[in-house]
Amino acid sequence: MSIQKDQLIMKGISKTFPGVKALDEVSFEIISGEVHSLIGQNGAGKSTLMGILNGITKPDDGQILFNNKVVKIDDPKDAFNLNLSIVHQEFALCNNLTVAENIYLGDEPHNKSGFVNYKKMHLDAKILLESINVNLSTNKIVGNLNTSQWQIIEICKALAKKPKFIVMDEPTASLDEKQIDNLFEIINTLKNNGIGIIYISHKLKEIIHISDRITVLKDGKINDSFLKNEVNEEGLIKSMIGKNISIKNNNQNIINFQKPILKINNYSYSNTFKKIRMDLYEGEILGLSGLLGSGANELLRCIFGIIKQDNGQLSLNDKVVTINKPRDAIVNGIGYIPSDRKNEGLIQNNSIKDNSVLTIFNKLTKMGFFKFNAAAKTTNNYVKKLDIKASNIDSFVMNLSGGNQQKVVIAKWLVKNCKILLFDEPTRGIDIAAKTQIWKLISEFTNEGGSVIVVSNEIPELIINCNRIITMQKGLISNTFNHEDFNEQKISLNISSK
Amino acid sequence: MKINFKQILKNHFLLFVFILICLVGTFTSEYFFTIINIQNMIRNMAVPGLLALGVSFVFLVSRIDLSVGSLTIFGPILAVSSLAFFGDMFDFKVLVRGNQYANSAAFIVVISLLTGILIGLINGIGVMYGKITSFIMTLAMMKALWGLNYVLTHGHAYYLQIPTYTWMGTLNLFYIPFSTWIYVLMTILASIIMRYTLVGRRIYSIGGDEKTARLAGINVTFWVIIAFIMSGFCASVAGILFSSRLQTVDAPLAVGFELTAIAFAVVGGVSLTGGRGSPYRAFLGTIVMGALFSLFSMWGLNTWHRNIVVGIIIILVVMLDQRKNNFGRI
Ligand SMILES: Nc1ncnc2c1ncn2[C@@H]1O[C@H](COP(=O)(O)OP(=O)(O)OP(=O)(O)O)[C@@H](O)[C@H]1O
Ligand SMILES: [Mg+2]
Repeated sequence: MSIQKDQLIMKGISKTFPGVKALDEVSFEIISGEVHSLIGQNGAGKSTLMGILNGITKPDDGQILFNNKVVKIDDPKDAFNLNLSIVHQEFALCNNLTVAENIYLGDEPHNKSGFVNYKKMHLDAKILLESINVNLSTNKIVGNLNTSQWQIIEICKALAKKPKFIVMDEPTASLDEKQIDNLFEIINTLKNNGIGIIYISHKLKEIIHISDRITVLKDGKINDSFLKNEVNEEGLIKSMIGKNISIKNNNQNIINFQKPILKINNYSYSNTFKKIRMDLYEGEILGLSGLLGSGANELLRCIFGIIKQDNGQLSLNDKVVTINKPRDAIVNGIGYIPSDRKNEGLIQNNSIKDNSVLTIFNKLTKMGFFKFNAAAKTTNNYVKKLDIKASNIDSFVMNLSGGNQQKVVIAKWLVKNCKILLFDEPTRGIDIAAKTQIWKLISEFTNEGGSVIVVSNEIPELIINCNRIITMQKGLISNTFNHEDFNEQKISLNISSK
Repeated sequence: MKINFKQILKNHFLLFVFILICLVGTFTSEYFFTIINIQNMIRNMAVPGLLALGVSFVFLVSRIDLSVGSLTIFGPILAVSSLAFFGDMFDFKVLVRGNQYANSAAFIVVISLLTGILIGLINGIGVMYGKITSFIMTLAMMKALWGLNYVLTHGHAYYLQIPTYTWMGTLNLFYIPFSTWIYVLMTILASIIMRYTLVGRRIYSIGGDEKTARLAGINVTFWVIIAFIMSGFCASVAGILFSSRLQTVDAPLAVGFELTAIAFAVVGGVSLTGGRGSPYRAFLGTIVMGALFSLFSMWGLNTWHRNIVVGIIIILVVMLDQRKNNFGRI
């Protein structure tokens, strides 16, 4: 059986935003049945290029050809008519609607007179979710779900359109290992069905594993293009960043495991986690890892007072402390960096500066007047330290690339001088260079006596940087690893259910 | 199947409040539970109820419509005054004894409905193409229509004592007032549209997240304009029922109705921030507030006291609403 191959070409695409040349004469091509990966540092222009392909962003220059015919994609609807679909990096979901309604948003099954066929919609959604091995009720309201469930719905949304070409902009950023394996299976099936996939990720292992072709974008220009097996991880890093990056541990604290700074006892929250006991010591980086549903993220939210535990107590330096709301936690020197940066981490239509100093507003005022210069100075300091890529500190956070937004969230808490920082997936959607920077900052924070809990599924990263790693499974602690016993395989085993 | 009483109570809380108010009324006033009073009560719900239904569509797309109050009587006023104007010009009788309208009733109905749709369309176009925030756009429209009402009536009332028109305000069908029938039928129709058709899906998605809706290929501009048109249409139906009941149109009538309508919808649980609520919710808010108004007048409470109580109730309801709507996130 010979399948007619479709071909989609973007030619000489340029796009300038106020203050940034996001894309400079970029050409990119995708053929049915292949996985063509697009990689590059935060702010390299990947999402912008895909936005242009999907009619979300208008290019200044360049054209798009579908089977050698010029096509106009001015609106998401045009992209949809060409059978293109996209998994957005920043989720595009309606919080007030159900899972099924979101998956079929804008394309609900209906009869001639416009009545929606809910039965078919829920059934189709259920089949789709099952086909990717996800067990999720299609009746749930999306606003009540968590980040990785949103990611799955976002992927289903793109798949539901039965596309010929599909763009996946960091689909695995909030997925755990098991779900990533599932996704790769789907990608292989799609490939075999002659669907072309554009895949964007900062996880280079994945890239090498899944791609047929890899194109590297650097500062809005195509820097390199490789075929499968032509390149290894180091090669990709070098092409992306222009130099080698050494990944090493900056955290050389010797921890005194006598007096815990934070101690939680018997923490339980509905069905999510039960009777959790955990200690955190001064200067320690504690890794917490678990699959979706393990309760690790919720535990963090609970310590910070976003959700209230059913029972259990928390003590700081052996004093029992009640935390009912985030403010209580902040007053006690605890900071939280959420994984959902879009809604919880940032005020999207405020500037980088306003977001960065949000937590220390009262310190930056004198007799009720805001000290603009001091704020600017603090912000500039962190922009430099974290290498936040933006035209200036007054640009809106919503215009930053995904990774750069994440850096602003972290800056916001680093300026605050907390004693304990809780990180929920801090390196989600962040390029390698920035990842090392962020881990360096975390280590600096602990070197100065701070303590950190990091929830993450990036086990190699945890192994390099943590003092201890606790694994969780179905709401229970399954194991605790001390630095000497770190072993990637063993840790993975303790995360995935037997 | 196990019946979950807690869930039922939560979903239909206001229905129980309504029943409670009626019970309190029955025990505290001998007139409350009489046919006449019940008929009056449910008839009086129709006009603010229709307005609340209309503004709910606009709320659902995260916008606001303040023009519905003055629009309510603008339709009939425009119909009567324009016909009077053309009557003078072409020499046919429209007004008798000065201000008494004596011509076709169908004409008032048709012109009113068209006016409602047109004003909704203008509001929608101003908001979407003119990029004027809905608050400002509809505030300006409210003021403009109010002014027009005075200009067109020259500041005095028109009387509409034509039986072909006023039957709508007085007739009962199976003991239930005609106005109430219209209101209930429109609520049912709106519920079906919002619950079961694509129109509903579009409107809810825009209220949920406008950018997401746009990315899903939904024509946000079109649907927001539709929401404003639905609001305008409901206001004009309310205007017809209102004027047929009073047998009069006069500029100062219906002033402040927009705020009553907004309050009714909000009490019912239609969220001002969009995406949450339904015609049924607006209906619940209407029957609760309508019953409360009726109870207050049974008790002989004056308007000022009534306003204080209404204010407190609205604040309480919105507070409770905020509590359950945060999706368990910050
Ligand atoms: N609407 C906008 N207004 C102004 N600048 C923008 C806008 N959208 C993107 N940019 C800028 O364009 C550049 C490219 O952004 P883009 O989102 O394409 O990066 P990316 O490669 O997807 O990065 P990441 O890996 O962090 O997602 C960035 O410098 C960003 O700040
Ligand atoms: Mg991006």
